[in-house]
Amino acid sequence: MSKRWITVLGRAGTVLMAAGLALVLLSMIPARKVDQSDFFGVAILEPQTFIIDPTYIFEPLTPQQGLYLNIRANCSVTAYVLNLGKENVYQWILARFPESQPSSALNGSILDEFLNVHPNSVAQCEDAVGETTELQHVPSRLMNVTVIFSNRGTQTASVSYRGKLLNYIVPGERALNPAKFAVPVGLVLAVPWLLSTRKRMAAKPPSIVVQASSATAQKSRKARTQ
Amino acid sequence: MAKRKPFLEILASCLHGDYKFPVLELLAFLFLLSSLLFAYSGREPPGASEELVVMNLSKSLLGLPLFILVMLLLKNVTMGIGNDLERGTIQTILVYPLRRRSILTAKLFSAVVIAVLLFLGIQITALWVLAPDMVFANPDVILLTYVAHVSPALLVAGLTLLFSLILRKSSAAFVVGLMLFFLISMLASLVSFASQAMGSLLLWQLYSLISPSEALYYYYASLSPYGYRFWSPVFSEVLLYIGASYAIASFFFVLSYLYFCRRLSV
Repeated sequence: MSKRWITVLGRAGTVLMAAGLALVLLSMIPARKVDQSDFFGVAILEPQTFIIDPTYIFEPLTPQQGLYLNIRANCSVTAYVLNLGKENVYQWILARFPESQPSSALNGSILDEFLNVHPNSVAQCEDAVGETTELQHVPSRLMNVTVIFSNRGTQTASVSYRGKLLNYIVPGERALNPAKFAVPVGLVLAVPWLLSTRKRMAAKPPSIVVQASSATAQKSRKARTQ
Repeated sequence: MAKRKPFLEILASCLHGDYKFPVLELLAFLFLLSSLLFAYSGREPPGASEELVVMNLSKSLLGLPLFILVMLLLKNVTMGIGNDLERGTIQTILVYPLRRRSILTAKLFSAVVIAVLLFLGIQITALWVLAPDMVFANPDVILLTYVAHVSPALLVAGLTLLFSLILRKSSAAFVVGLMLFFLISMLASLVSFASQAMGSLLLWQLYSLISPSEALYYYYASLSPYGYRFWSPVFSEVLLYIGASYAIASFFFVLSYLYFCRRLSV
């Protein structure tokens, strides 16, 4: 490969590394809690029932915001984060099942049907079994969210949840994924250029000033030994 | 083919001068860091068009990096070309078996094209990292936002190039370029105030000829139900402003070419 190509690829590599390092640095900045966004509550879920959005998120989340949920249940409960607004879910349920009251616990078959009709609406799904389960969702576009707790088991479940909204500069994982690619690829591209630059620097004859000063140093060393 | 080698020789020497290690790397680091640090995908009022949301997000990424880009363009144009004239090294470059316009093209490719490509590459990467779905869903909005915002920077670069060729003083040309950029940035507030006070759109329309980003903003804002109704330009009008702003910027580059090829005596 010609020296020029090594330089071009090497510089592209160092640029990739610099960009990757910037992303790593940004991913290390922790999220900040959105003021007055805490919510918590307790729900009792009969077997084969579900409840819609016990949270109080009315505005859409931005790509720099995340929903954090801490769920504690005495038996298996499934938490869904849907990428639809609460009013959309309510409207669909009321249109299909006019007798139901979406603000209270509903039959699990309604949820199954809803998910069959809207298969792409589940942004995240987590099984909370027994002890504390943490769930975090950061949308990749402006997105309404609705949280659903569903008890698909055979015994009554008691769910306590605690949540908040978080503000990110960049969500950590989203910044780290491209950095994981950029830094090693950049390093591979940059190594030949760095080695050739080092070789060139080593082969370079010392400047006249350096030569003169080393000659003077040698002379004075000789004089001292004599 | 015979002319390609000297052209590449000059281009390589310009690239080496403009982006000495680690200038390019520091720029990439700063562009990405400042883009994401100042990014704000704020909550828009209900009913806001997605185009407006995407445009505002792209705009929030532009602030400091655009200023860094302008600084880089001014430094490259004035220190690269202006310094050659000031120190007389242009005489050595003119010895190459190349036309003057090819020499200037090589210098501008290094000074302007590489800088803008680096800027756009990093900005779009930052947007993709932040909101990947928004980037894939609205590439046209993002492209137009960047095209509209970069044109004043290119206008300033073109004018500064012309000044540095005429004045032959790199530092003076740099200061003039910097002042021009500040002037264009400040004009936005002045025009906004004056046009609302006068109840006339003429000032906005004139200003959009050099900085079409405002026209683009009002176009996307007018798509939302709560849209700002003072000015609602149509899409073709916005495209016309963008085209006009690039035509004006190109005019100064063409003038610089003509001056460099025909009038400049060394």
